[in-house]
Amino acid sequence: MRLDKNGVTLLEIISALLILAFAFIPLIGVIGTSSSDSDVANSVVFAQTAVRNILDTLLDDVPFYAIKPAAGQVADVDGNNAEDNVAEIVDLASPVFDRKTFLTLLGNDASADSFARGQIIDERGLVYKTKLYVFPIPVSNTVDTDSEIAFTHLPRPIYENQVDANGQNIWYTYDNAFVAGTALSPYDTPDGSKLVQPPLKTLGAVELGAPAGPDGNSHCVMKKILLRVSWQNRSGHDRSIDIFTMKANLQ
Amino acid sequence: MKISKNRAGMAIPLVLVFATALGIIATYIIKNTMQYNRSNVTSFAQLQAHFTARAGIEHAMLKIKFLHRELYDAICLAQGRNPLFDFTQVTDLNAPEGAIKSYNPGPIYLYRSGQFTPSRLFTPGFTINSGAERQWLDTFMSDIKSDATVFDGTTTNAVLSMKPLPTEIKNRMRDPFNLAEYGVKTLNIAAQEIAESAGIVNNTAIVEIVIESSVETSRGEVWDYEIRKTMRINRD
Repeated sequence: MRLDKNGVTLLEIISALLILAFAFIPLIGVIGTSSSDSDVANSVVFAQTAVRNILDTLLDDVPFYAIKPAAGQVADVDGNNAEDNVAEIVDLASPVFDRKTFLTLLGNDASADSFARGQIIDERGLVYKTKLYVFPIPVSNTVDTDSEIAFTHLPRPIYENQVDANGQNIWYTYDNAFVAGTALSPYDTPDGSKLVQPPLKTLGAVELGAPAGPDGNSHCVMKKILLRVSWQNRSGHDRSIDIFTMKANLQ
Repeated sequence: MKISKNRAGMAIPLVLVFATALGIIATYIIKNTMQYNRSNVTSFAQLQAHFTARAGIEHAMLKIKFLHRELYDAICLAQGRNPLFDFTQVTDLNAPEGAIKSYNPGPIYLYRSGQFTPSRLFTPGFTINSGAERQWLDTFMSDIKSDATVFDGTTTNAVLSMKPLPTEIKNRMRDPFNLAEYGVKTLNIAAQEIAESAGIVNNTAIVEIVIESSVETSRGEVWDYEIRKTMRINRD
């Protein structure tokens, strides 16, 4: 028995190794990029989860008056990037609110200050900076529709004062569930005496009885909120997620 | 017996097969990564759309807090019921007219006898004078949105616009969205509240408000979102 083993030559082996090496070059690149992208994706997921937790808590559990713009500029925890409109979270007696839990979500343990910014760290040791900004919408005694929030409604028609020629009220019934034959229904054309449709009313918060509120809230009923979570990837690239929402005074 | 296997030229085909397999793996990894990245962009748009809709819910609840009586009236008018009637006096839903008393006069319904047939306190399919019954409700909902609304020549609530965001906010965002907006999609009147313990009808309407939002990111990704909230609207 004789086996012919002349098929694989040194030249063939070298050629094969060269081809294989060339094939591996892009693959290594792809694997590297994929690993880096996966790292970025994990960071994005972590940041998005943090954003959702913070903003949901802010909208659901933090009282309106507990959040206000800090006086002056506030820097990040590392002392850089001082900015206006960074939020300050304050304790409240009524409703009872302790700021510590919310500030901890932001990565500020509240031992030093009450500013809504801090640092949170994921399980890989990556540091994420958080910063919450607040922009109160101003309120005047008489609403300025250009720069303030206004509430418009069409008042219900005044139909209950309908009288006949003798001055007797013809609207109210004491034995009938339906509109009396001689009375106008609210859906009829207003006639100025029996049926009056008041005009549209556009009112501001003060006109609707919004309280002044503590700490210079000045009758504010709506605050614009911006949350930023920023971090630096292992590759050194800066990334951030900025989400905008609004919080109303529903107390 | 002579066994002869000619293996000349086998290495290069084998390597080519192997390289092809590697190529397929690489393509799969690239495709997967691209999909993952796209889903991250989408989830950012989704997150912003969610909180845009939540801003809309806050706006709606604020207006209802201030104008709950006006909304209750608008709801009753949209249903053909008299908002001035005290429904707490109704003890038999099948004969609500029994609640008409000297101190709680009728009418219960805002149409004439024979025009429509009520079912308990509701009038299924009630509509009159080409939809006149909804004008108060439609007006109430019309400015619960992030865009400016014009009423009789007066523009209101431009301050809430998010297309674009105010400069002071936009400048703080690394990747600001092109536009975001919210508005009321529907306000469904679910029921007139009945206190279960006493079987008494309250002057409270239960409504479901649906807020829809839309966000377009700087990369042109568009995401729509919808939030529903059930609320009790008291007249008192």
